[in-house]
Amino acid sequence: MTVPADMTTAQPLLHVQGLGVRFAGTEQPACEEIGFTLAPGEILGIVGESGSGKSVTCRALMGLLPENAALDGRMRFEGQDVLLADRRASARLRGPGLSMIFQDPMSALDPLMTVRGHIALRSPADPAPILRQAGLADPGPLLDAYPHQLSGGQCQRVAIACALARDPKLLIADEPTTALDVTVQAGILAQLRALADDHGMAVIFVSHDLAVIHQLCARVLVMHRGRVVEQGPVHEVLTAPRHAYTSRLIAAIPRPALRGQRLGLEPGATPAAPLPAPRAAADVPVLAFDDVTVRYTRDGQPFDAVRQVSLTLHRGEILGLVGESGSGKSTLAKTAVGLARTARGQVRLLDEVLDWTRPRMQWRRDVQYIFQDPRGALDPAARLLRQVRLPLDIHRAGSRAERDSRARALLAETRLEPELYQRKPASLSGGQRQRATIARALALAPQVLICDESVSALDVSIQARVLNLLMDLRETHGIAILFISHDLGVIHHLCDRVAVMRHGALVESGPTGQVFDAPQHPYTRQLLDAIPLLPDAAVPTPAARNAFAEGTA
Amino acid sequence: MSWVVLRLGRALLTLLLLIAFTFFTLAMNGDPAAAKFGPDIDPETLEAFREKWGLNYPLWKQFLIYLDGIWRLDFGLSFRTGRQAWELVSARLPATLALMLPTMFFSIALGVPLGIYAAAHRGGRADRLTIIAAVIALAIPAFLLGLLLMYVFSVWLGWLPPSGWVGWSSFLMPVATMAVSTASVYARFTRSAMVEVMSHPMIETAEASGLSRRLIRRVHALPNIALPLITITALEFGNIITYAVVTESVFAWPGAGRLLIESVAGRDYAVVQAIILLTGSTMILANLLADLAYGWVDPRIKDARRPRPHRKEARA
Repeated sequence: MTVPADMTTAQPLLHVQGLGVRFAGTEQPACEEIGFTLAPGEILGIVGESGSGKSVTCRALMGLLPENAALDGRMRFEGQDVLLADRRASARLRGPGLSMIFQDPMSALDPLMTVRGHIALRSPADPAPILRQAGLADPGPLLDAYPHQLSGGQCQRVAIACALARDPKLLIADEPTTALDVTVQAGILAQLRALADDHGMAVIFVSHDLAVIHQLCARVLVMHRGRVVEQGPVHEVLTAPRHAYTSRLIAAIPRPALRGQRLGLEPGATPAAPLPAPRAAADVPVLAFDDVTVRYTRDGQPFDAVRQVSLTLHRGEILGLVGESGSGKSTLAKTAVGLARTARGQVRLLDEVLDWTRPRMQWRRDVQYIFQDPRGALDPAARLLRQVRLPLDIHRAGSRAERDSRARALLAETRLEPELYQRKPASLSGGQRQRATIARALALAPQVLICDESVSALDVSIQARVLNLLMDLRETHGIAILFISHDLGVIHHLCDRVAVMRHGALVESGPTGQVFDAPQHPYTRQLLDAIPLLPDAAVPTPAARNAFAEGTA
Repeated sequence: MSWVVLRLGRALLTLLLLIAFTFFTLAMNGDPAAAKFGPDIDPETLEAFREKWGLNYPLWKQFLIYLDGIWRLDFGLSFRTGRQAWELVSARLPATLALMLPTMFFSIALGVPLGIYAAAHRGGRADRLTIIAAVIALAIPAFLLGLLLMYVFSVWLGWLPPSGWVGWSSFLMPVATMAVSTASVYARFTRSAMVEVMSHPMIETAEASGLSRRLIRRVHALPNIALPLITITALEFGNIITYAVVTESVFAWPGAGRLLIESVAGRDYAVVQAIILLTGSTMILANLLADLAYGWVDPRIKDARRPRPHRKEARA
């Protein structure tokens, strides 16, 4: 890759050359031939899917890789040459030179140590200004708090403060906002930008989310299978990608412009044909929440997780349920399968009131629930085919042979290859696992599918496949889907109607277009403003997408 | 505060259950009068004996009388000696404690550093040797180890007194016998806890801000392994008591453990109950202290029963 001219003239802070990592016992290097340059105060994005080697690259720079990793290449940091294989040399730069924050903010901190203790370990200075610099406006009451008393966003800010306490020249941020709500994410991104602008701190920002990269970074590296396939100014890379992989990555992102269409990406597979426009919701209500209130007891105090929510899901409709963590969206959905009980109001399935004190087997067939973590939802010891057949076995649907062939048909419908049927979950990818849980959910021909953050943990290309599959299912089976997500981009792309929840109450609901284009409630507006957007020009034309889909893999 | 009261209440309830359980189990174990005199005794003597020891009352009344007695540390008279059971037991206690406390001390002082050392050299030769040694130490039954030591150091080398109590050198072999297996439990637990803590993301965060590995081990890892170690200490207390019973028999140590075996053999209810209740209360006390220590070390535990603080996102 060539380095843009203006970058070479300015005195670079960091110059990386020929970085490569190979783990002992593996054939394929985790990454190789990675090179880039970073100026002081610059924010560089690294984008790629899981396993593309972006985290490994960052840890190689920090000297944080385990002993079984063989490192190659060199870096020049503030005029100081370091061989990356020399972990001690890169370890010496940690702290005042480079620092790093990680994806899971809740476990980045010591559960037994106060915020003050964390900062004091790193700097003798007064902790309050450092925390303020990290974006905690009023650090006073937080100083003696323990991590479990903080929210995810606060934890991440404390982690940033931990890094800032050593006054680093370069902060490497590895997916720091992936686990956070959009509004919290927006705050962290603004904070990182302010640190770069005001303090001249350079930032390497790693993310799988191109929109976030676009919002924050000036330049981006696109990584694929351990290599940098493309690098350049973000806008250029997004609007005129030079590498086929970048184009596919962009095409896989759900966006308003691609609404109701297949996300084109599967090379050689289905061309990106627009699906029939979402049918006007056939007015057959399948699942109805009437004035539902769910009450928990928290330390003797009654606490309403859901407050008087009324919502109807029609046949063949995809209804999006949006809200931040703790807004009660999952709790509401769980009342439909008896995992949460209503304190007031009722849930009706096909005009029958669900009374879970006297459950009917039929209800368990008609409503199926798909959770976020497919690894946790599958039995690690059982083969895939058996797991998909299990619901049929439990409900004694047909003979053994019939059940077996039905399970095979379901797995085929979710586009899982036959050679995977006898595998166990551990040897599958996240997307394959999630498709298996969908196949299992479909086994009993349900009326309603509840997807609770079912694509949140997946890479964009895998997410696109699952979204395409859900759209197909709606078309072919007329199944109604309640789709819960905090990702507004996905909701906008997929859903016919949207309901927004906050603090357990429904704040707004309506057709997707209406809610997104003319939000009525200030909270909805706040949510929408927080979504990082791609430039409009990044949307490839259908013709271009077809070209990518057909084959330049 | 209410948290402490709750733990205390739970401990007391467990104690009460323990007393009831001991009493009824032993009461079901046959008629002590018949056991004492055999089948040839005349009925009047038998009746007089039953009258004297309150064996004619209904069971629940015997239990209440018993409870009342325990409250005053009166466990009744020993059948065999006719002396107060508590007097017998308390006379033997110091000898047993003199074995248990040093055992606990040496187990921790030996096992914990060994475990930390093994974890720091994870996968290396030092690690493997430590694990193998710990497994062997754990696999040898206490009585066998005791006899082995006795053979080597008393019979063969003649360095140490083989049994009984003759001076401080008498401690060495019994304490070693008990401490070896307990120390190996500590070593293995410390090692696995340490390995687990060191793979926690907070360690990487600390390393990323340039803290030295030594400092990280001290400020992050050690407090975090304290939690599982507290649990183990409470559990090992029970094991040490078991070891004490065996070890005291092997070395003819004048402790409560040997008294227990003698009393069980002679169906001496009062003494057996006194010892069982004493060990049980020790265990309950150890667990209570462990619970309280947990709450003291880990701020999450006290908070688990409090309303969560209102989570407010600070504005950027």
